[in-house]
Amino acid sequence: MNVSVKLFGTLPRHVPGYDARSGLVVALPEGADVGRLIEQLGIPASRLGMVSVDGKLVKSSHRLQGGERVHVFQRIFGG
Amino acid sequence: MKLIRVDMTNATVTTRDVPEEFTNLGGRALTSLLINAEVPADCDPLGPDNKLIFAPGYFSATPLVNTSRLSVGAKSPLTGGIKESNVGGTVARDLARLGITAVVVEGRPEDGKTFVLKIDENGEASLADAGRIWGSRTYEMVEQIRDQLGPDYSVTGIGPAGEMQLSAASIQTTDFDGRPCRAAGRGGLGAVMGSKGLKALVVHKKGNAPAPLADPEAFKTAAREYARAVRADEFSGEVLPELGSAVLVAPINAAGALPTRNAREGQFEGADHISGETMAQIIRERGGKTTHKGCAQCIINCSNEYVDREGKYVTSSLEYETIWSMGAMIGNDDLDTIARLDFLCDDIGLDTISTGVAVAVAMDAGYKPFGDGRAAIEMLEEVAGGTDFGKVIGNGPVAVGKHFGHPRVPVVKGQSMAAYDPRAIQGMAVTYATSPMGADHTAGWVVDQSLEDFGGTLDRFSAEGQVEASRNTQIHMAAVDSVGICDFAQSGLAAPGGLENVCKMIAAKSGKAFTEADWTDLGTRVLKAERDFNRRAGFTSQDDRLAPMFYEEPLPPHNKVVIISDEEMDKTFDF
Repeated sequence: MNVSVKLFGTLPRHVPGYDARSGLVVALPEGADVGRLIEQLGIPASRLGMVSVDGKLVKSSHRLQGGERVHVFQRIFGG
Repeated sequence: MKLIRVDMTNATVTTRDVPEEFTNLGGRALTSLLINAEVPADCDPLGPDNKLIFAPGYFSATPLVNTSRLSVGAKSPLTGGIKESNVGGTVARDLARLGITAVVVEGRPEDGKTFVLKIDENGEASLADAGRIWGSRTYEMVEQIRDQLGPDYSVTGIGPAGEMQLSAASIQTTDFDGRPCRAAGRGGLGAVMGSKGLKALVVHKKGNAPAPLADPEAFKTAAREYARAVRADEFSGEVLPELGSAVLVAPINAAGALPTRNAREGQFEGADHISGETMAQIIRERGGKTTHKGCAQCIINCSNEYVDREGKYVTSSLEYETIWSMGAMIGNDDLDTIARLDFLCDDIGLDTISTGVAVAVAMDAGYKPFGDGRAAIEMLEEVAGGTDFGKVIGNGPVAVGKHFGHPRVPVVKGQSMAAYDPRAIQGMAVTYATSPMGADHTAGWVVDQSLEDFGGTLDRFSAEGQVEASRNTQIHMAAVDSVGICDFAQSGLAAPGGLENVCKMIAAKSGKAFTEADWTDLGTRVLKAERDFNRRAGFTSQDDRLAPMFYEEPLPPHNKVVIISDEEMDKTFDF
């Protein structure tokens, strides 16, 4: 199954060849969860903030079906 | 250390040593404690009894990085309570370099006279007739002052909105490049400055008499450690320099917490067009600056220079709160329009948050359709022109709600919320409701603690733990705002041993022991003074509540309301 992935903040630095305009299409084994996707992308756990699937935040144990839009964010701080 | 009192009634200036009870204080601690001690709580905020106080943070002009923060305090014409609004640029460093701990502006000229307050390279303060500088917008004001005095002065002053004493008026100050694009935005302090007939505070940049450090070596060692932590942190060392605070647009939108179309929704379909990533790409393509030093002593460089299609300067710095207030909140997904609105707010001297929300309330009331950027620009020009409707907009969201008889006004204590909808992050409901400042995101930002999906400790839709989280963060921030560390450089405090390090620096400057318990006591002392002032100004626990819309209208996509009960809100300050 495939999911489309967009990386935010400075996360593209960790994924060689990432194109900000088109994002990435990632092939995953059936039943893979978000944690598996992040591992496959090669993003270090320490760099991960949050992940949304089709516009809603999910936990890393969230199981993917294929065809979703996955957005990956860094830890944030602000004001 | 010097405390300068400026009596606007008689146009006189006196300089004295800081009184004993206010020594070893700076920033918000100094402004709030002085206001609570000296300003009658029931006074007219725009009358002669109010005082406008400028105080650099305790660490300003020390070797510590990211500490050019100026606290500005007064009784607020927007909230009717005490106010501290802080701002970067260079002025805090400039004042502190001259050994000036605070400038207290009192009284009011009887005869409509207007002034510029100049502090020269020896720290001598004097008032001069504002002449034709009065009436100018801020970029022109800075140019006129530079023509008269040369480039060696920072300028902190008001535009037409402050001169007209409108409640959303900001005080603008010059950035590292001398542009008046840094704002003490919140609470209408520009109106207080205008009521005193003071157009600008002009401070020489090259003073050479900062407060001595009791133990310079200990201070420098701790300061080096702090700077290392700020550089090593992913957010302050890598993300902010590349994207600025605008990086928050996408994740807060993903969290369903980006107030959209006057907070009718929590996600904006145009968020991709106004995200930090898109902004940085546009700036790069046009030859602007994505990384820019806005403030003295800064090593983060979160600022940017937004340019138009011809590469010409539009504004600096385009930041998260403004992108939200002039973007999602008014349904506008055009960054060029947002940048123009940001510039206009700086130039007219308006708080971008209150003004964007005022425009949003007007649109929500049906005055113009959401997303009409041209209409938003026209509304701001009306403020500058002083039309009747312009004054309504310039007085902020509550005034606009009253004008249209429209009940959906997202405020607490008369001040609009910022770019985090409290229905999607319950901890922000506590901070907005209970902060003595009114709805203020910087008073206790608990967003990171609330995103439990990855690393946070709180369930953002549950009431559990929110009051405690907000209380602790508000106490901490009251202390941070007093030492004058930039919000974005708090990575140095959050690092292992960070707070201990900061305590070491306070001790190394003052020569007196300072523990982590003293840090909490400092924040608590500030909040107590602020709440005491507000109580005497007539505030009760009923004022520690959000606008009804937050309790009554579920916010899509999560369809939650604020569930923190009044009883829980009232436990926030258990001291």
